[in-house]
Amino acid sequence: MDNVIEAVKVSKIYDMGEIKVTALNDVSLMIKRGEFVSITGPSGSGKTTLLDILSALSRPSKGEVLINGDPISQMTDSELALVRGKTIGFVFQSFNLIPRLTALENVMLPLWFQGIAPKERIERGEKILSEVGLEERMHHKPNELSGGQRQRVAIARALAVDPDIIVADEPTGNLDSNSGALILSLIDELHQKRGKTILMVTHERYVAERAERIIHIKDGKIEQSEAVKKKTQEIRRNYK
Amino acid sequence: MDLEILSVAINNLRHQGLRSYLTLLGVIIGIASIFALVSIGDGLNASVTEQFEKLGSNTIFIAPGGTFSSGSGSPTATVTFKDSDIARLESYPEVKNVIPFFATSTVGKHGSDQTTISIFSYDPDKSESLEETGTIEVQEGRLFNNQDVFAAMVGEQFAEKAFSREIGLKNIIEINGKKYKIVGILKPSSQNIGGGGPETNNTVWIPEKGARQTFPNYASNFMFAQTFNKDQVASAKDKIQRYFDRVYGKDQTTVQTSEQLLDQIKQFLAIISGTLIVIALISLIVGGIGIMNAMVMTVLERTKEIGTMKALGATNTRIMTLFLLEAGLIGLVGGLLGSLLGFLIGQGMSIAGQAAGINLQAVATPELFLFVLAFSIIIGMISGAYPAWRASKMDPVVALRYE
Repeated sequence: MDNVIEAVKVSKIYDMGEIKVTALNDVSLMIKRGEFVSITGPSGSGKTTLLDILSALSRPSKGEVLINGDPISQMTDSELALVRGKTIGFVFQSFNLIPRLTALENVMLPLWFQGIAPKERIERGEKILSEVGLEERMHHKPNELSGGQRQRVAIARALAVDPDIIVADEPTGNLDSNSGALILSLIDELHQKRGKTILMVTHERYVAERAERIIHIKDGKIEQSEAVKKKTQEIRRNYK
Repeated sequence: MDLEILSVAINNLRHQGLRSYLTLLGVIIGIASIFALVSIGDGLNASVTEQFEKLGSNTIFIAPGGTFSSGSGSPTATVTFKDSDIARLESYPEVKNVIPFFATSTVGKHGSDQTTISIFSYDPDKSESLEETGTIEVQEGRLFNNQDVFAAMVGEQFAEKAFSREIGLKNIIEINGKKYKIVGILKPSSQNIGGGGPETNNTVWIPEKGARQTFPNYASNFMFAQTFNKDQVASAKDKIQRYFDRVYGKDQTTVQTSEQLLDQIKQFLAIISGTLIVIALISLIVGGIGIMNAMVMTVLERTKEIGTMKALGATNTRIMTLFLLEAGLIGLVGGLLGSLLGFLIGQGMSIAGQAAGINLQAVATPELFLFVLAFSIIIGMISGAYPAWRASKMDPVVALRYE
């Protein structure tokens, strides 16, 4: 009943002039508070589009998305930006750190957008960076950090506003396996110790399997998960 | 507005290095030209005004003819002024002084050399008043006194160039068969009421007594009237004009104040400096296009960053403000440095002008500085408006994945 994100009959259609491309086709989905969900599927399946819509980065062509129960179709772009900034922390495949800013300044950025006072921003930024093990690298710029360190800065940035949901788009995609493993265990920790809702897109099976629930997307539709399939088959067998 | 966005904007500009500096240069050039041209234009105006003030802003010029005669030689109109006219003008309570002149042109000889000269003659009793108007200023020798009959004063340039040999004090110029001895050489700064500038000043001043014996047609055909103070000039001018219109008929005499003459010159100067400022404005517009170009590039380059900021909760307004501020800052810094450069150019031209004998001092007022600065910031912001708007309207999904 406590759904952080709820998608109701959501479609996303891209109008490419002559042809219309349906990236998402009538998808309904609920993400419960504290859940760890992976979205997976082949490239072009619509998994990124689904993530964009679930994380309020874009609006659906049809249907409705509710964030903490609030329908986003009722919000202006600015309201949506503020809700997004407060509720959702993003971790991107290519880190998306601002190159001119230090690690600490990058982490403080979403706090600035939320209108939090500078003193508190610095305190929170320093605390979070220490928690991800970067207390020594706070005043370094992204180009002075390793890939794994950069992704940890990005995670710290996602955590800065203490959001309900962490959205991670291929968070290990640009990392070697050691750094990737470290990031994944950090994400696990956010889920288990901090109780964050995690929504992660990945095309790698072993990464997806760390989640409690795997949503498989194909051709813009959700395929029933293996577990559900198995369960259904079981029920059918028992019925015979 | 939260001021922090300003420091973010400054930081962004600093990191763009060369591009920011080149964009800045475009603005600096435009602003410097405007600042320099306005300050030099104002300086010229001030210099002209000062010269006229020397002549006396309380001076009224009265000449025969419908238009004010400023060509060389004497006014050719038939009206000449009688003693009764002078007495009438002197009876006005505003009028302090009337200086009548006899002006004509003739041939002057020095030895076997001869040249066309303008004769200006006045009553030596008026020497002091005339000196007060700045019309004549002695460089060497003296002004006329009551005893002078066949005495003459000439300008410095005339002394050097009128005849094949330079003439000086005590030399003789022969005018209509009478031998005039030079008693004074006048400074080039003396106003030339006869015609031309100091360079072509071919005026020979002689006292009234000598002129009466040399020219059988002697009569006052040109006058200065001085009022006690500036404020009386307009009313005195009207009275004098009305008097002459009544006595000699309409448009037979021209009565003009130095202010009117000054206005004509100022109008002329305004046209010249206006044209130059328009050209300078064009260069500033080019500077503005430079800002726009740089900002469009910047927005394009920072597309991914804009997407990230939006994902992290930055509103469209904040993105727009940030880029507008960056453009405005280029305007501000360009305005500051441009005014400084323009000020230096103005001072440099003043020094060069003074070395060349032109009385020019560029005028740089705080108002000009503030105006130019505000103008520069506005140009920056206008130029930044479109790129900033584009940045603010970016779709975060598209921007985030832009490579």
